[in-house]
Amino acid sequence: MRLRKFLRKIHRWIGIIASIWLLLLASTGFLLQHKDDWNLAHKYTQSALLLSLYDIGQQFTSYGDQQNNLAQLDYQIYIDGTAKIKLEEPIIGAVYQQPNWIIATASQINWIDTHGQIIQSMDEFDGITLPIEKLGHNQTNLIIQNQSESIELKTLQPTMLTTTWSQAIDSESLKIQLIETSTQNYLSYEQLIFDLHAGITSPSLFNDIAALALIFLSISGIIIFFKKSFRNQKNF
Amino acid sequence: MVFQQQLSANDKNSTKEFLNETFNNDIPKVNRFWVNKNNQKTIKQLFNPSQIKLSYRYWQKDDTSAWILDEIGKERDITTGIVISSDKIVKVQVLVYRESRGGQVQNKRFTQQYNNMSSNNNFIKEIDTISGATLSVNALNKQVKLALWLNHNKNKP
Repeated sequence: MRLRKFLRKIHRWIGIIASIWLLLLASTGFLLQHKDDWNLAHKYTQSALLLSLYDIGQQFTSYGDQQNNLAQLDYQIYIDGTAKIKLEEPIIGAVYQQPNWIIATASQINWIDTHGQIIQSMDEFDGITLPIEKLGHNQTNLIIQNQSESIELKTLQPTMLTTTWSQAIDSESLKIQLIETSTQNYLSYEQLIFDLHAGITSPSLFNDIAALALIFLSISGIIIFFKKSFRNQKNF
Repeated sequence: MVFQQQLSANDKNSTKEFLNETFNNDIPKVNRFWVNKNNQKTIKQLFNPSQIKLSYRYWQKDDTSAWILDEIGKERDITTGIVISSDKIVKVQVLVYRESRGGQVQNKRFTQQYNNMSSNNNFIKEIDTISGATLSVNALNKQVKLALWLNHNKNKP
């Protein structure tokens, strides 16, 4: 009697928690059943909140000015607002030398032409000591700085000349513009609903709790049911 | 849009392994073949690569040189290491394959076909293509031909 009462109490509360998950599962499942009726595969969301579930816009840096600018949004490099190439590492410096951009990451320096192609790279194989920390220029040469010194890229010799280091500029408007451009046809409602349904976008802890709650509800439900049945049989 | 990627840490390890293997763990200093306007024109006419670099890196010890070149298969770069000795191919090895299809070109059985070939060989006739990997095979052919040309011309003024 005591066990049944105790289980019923917990069963009620856990039932409430699990119902949130079941509601999500049922409503997204319902929407997926009708995805073709509502053309969900061809409707896209640009909500910053929903896109953040996919880690879009987490990393942003931009260099240059109004006329010539280079930006990195997550892995994608944009030159003057147009998507060009993908880099796996964050940019730590960028210098514009007409018509090319020279960009540095911690492990590599790349020359990017107007078409957005890497036309030259320099890295540890060329004798550069990593990690690269800054990229800049003096009157004649490109300069990089690593942990111990500033080095001229042309000669790979230390330099004592005054260097102008490239500085990232904070441009929230460019970031918003690039997110809007890059995600125009990125996340369809079908994909979003499917990912919500499959638990891909929700934290794994939430999925674990929901699964454990359902297991508990099933077992406690069986116990409550049979305990009651036995008592009823006894009364007969 | 072309998806080019710089070498990741793993890719660099495979490049290092390739160079260590080629030069018996004694990698020589890197050299560069600087592309002037005339060379640029010739490279474009002869090989029509997806991109012409400002310079091409190579490592040389005695008569053996190793070149690492990138060429786009369909959408992504394929990074290949090519070892040349006496103007003949000694070894071709795909170091980084980024395409989703056509990965069979990484197989040694395929790349060994290039061994001992020179710029006089007709690659289209002599290299067996792989169905479903035509663009990747074409990319490798271009890389090998370009490496042979660069190697032959590297000491010319």
